[in-house]
Amino acid sequence: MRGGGRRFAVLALSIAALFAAELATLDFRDVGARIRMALGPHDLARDRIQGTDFLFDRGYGAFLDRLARTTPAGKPVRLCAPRTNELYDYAAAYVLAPRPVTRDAGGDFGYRCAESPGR
Amino acid sequence: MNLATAAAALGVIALTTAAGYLVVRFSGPELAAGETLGWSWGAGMLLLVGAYAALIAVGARPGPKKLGGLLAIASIGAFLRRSPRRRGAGNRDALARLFAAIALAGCVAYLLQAVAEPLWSTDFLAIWGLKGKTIYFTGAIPGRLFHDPATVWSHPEYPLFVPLAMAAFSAAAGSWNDETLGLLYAAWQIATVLVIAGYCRRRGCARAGLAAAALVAWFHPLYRGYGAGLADVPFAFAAVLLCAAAADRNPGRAAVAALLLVATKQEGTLFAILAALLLLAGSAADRGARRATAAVVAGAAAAHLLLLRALRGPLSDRDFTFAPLAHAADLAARFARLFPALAGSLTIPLLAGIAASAAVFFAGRRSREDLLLAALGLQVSAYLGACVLSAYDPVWQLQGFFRTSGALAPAAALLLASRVAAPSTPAPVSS
Repeated sequence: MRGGGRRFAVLALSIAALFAAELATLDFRDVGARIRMALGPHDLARDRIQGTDFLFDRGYGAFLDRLARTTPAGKPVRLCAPRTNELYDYAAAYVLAPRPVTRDAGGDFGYRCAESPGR
Repeated sequence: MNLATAAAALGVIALTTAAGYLVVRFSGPELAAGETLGWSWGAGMLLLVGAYAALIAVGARPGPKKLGGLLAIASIGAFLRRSPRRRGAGNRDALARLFAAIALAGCVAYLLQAVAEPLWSTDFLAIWGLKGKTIYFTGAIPGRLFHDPATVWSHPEYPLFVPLAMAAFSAAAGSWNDETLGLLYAAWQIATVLVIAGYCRRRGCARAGLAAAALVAWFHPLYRGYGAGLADVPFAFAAVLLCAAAADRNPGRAAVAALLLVATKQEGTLFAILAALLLLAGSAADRGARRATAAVVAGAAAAHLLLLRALRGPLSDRDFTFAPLAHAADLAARFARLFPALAGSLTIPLLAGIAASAAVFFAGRRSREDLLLAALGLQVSAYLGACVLSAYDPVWQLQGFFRTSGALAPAAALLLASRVAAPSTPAPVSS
């Protein structure tokens, strides 16, 4: 085989191997599910609560959504929530932003929190 | 997202790209059409973020009218004068068209994944989205983003381009919408793919560029639902831009690329410095253009560091510690833990991908892009070193190693495809 032909064969095989490696890492089920979600009807608040964000606790998503709707945007929020998962912190900070959120066992608002009256 | 919000967001993307053309058209006539679009999107995002930051700095509340007006003025300026004819070397045969179709399908698949639901990845909630949403709703960069002990996990030391880009994009579109922000990520991916394909086409082989573009478009570790909302996708774009500009020895475009790179992720500064040093260390040929490009890249990195320092004061990095360097036994123990874990993480697809990339490298020709491949190699080595210096656990840090290294894959694809596309006799570089 001449040099040019060998080079072409190596490149063709390499590109085929790269595509095969990519196919092996594709999560077809996840990609398919997300594409179906994208093409379906959308409601921002419902999508967040029912989406991947709150897989760890859907009730917490509904709680934060209610809190965001009923609290003035500039008001700091003292919140009591479970410490079993750091996602409780991250989700609260994001959903309630731009309100500064502090975690406090005796907070003004509580979710599954024995120390707080909860709202 | 509803039709109105999607239309507004797409309008902002189109206007931003048109405005960015104002910068790109004066950077040299050699870009192919697709490349011009990709570069214009990158430059346009810098203009949009710059305009947004300037408006909030003077206390003006940025909204669709102000930002849209500024972008429209820049767009008109961009198209006032007739552009020089774009160069489009390279043939497009059936195989090239097949690769183009695969790349297009990959971009559509990622677009749909990115807008499937409100951005949800952990780092979006805890870092990028939190900061972007706070900036957007307060119309300022509040000091608590850097100094609030309640959100110390939000990495106050990280650069601000991504949060500012989200806030500016939302302000121009008229609302903060977690799903519409996914379009921003799709635009970054499309721009990346266009620059890769266009650059290699310009180097003489459309087929090589489109093969690389197709592989990049379907690179699932980077372009998947989880990646939308993180800094890795825009970082990958900026790394591709910097490699292309540095290979072209084009200081104007290198300035755009370096600013995007260093302002997107901390490791961007390292890559900019490595690229600048390697540009300086090259052969005597085109030394002047290389020095000018290196100076611009290093200057952009230094200016960004000074700006951040002035904005928020000194901040320490929580992820890493240099303490193990002073204790040889600790350092050795960290290496001993890291390397077996690394070996155990190497999957068959990953090894096949590395082996195939190596084969492409050796089947290619020596080219002007090789020094940037060296910069990428050093960057990945630095990521591995960072695992050893993790403030947590070197093995835990490996997840981050694979993710951050994956963000360099599009740049590696560009450079490897360039070796394939490179003419057998070296072409003169533009200046």
